[in-house]
Amino acid sequence: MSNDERLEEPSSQERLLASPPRRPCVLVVDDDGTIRAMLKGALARDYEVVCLANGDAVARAIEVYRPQLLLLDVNILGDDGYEICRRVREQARKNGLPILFMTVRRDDAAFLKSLDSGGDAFIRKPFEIAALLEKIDCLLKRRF
Amino acid sequence: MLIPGHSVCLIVLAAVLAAFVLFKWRQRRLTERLEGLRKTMNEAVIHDLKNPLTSTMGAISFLLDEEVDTKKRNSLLAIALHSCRAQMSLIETLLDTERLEGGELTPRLEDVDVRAFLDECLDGVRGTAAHLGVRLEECLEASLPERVLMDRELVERSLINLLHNALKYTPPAGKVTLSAGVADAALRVAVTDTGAGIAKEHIGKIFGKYYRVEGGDQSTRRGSGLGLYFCRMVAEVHGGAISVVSEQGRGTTIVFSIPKNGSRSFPS
Repeated sequence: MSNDERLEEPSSQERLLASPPRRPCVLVVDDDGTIRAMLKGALARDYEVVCLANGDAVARAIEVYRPQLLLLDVNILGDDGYEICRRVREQARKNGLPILFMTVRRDDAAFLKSLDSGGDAFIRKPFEIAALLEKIDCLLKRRF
Repeated sequence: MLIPGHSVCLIVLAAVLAAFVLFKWRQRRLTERLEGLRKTMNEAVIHDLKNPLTSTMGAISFLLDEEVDTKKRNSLLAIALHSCRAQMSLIETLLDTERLEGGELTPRLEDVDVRAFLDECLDGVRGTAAHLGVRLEECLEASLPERVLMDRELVERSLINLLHNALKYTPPAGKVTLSAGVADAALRVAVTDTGAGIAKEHIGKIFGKYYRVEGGDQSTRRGSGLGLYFCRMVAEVHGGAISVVSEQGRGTTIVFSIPKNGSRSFPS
């Protein structure tokens, strides 16, 4: 099992949290293992990608990894993306961490809800990697 | 002044009119409910199609834009292929559910080597289990017959569906077990997970069409609500049945039974 997959196991997660990465870091939270694997592969050239399958360890991962961006899926089993965002938004603001939502929904209500819960932007699934990189780049440039 | 006969006529007319208005009102409410259900179902199916499409599109767009080594290319292509299969499986479930409901799809029974068949079902989800960090186990009873008559394709899709469902609801480091044996002349295949379990109020409803257990917020519900319904229909067209036992915090077992001799007279 690779290090990436180990990240999803709480015990191993704890072990890995002890060694922060050196490259700019994107913290991905999505309960779909295939999407995590795809993002890990596609973003790895430019970023250190840390993946979590649920919201349980997000606050701790922000503390340890000091990511430059949180990429958060809306549709997560258990606490959904909005709830996770609400929980960590103060911590994210303190760290100047932008939050980018991913969602399959196309309606304005989803967009407003993501802003309301503390998100900075959102990208609609499915997306091309170039579009995602552009969004990430844009958010990092106006990082506060 | 009204003649008594006219009064009766007026009362009857008023009653008929009231019944007509009530009928129309009920009809409108039913139409609204059906429309709501159709919308919910469409949203759920669209979500389930878009999620694997994200992996496929992401992987392929990345490969088109970037020079990568063979190992990475193959890994991303495997992700894309896996996601295409997930989409195909949902489309087939949608189409077959309709055909099963309409009686257009009847099981094509064939003599199947049960052990090899169950191994194949498990092989079909090993990749997903590894991704999720969930352990897969198999437990076959000595009583298991060598061969059983079944529609191989339909039963395989049902069992893979049950396994995927169990994996989806099991946290990393958890376990999903496929066990099989014979009881009351039926092949009984049980899929047990160590997930969160199902709340009592949902237990009797999970095999219903479009029924989904997760949260109240429409935007964050998961699944089309067709998977378990499809499994139930497949069990029933074989003359079998499906049942569930679950305890919150401990896990869930779903038992899929079909008569081992292929008879359709097995009580459901």
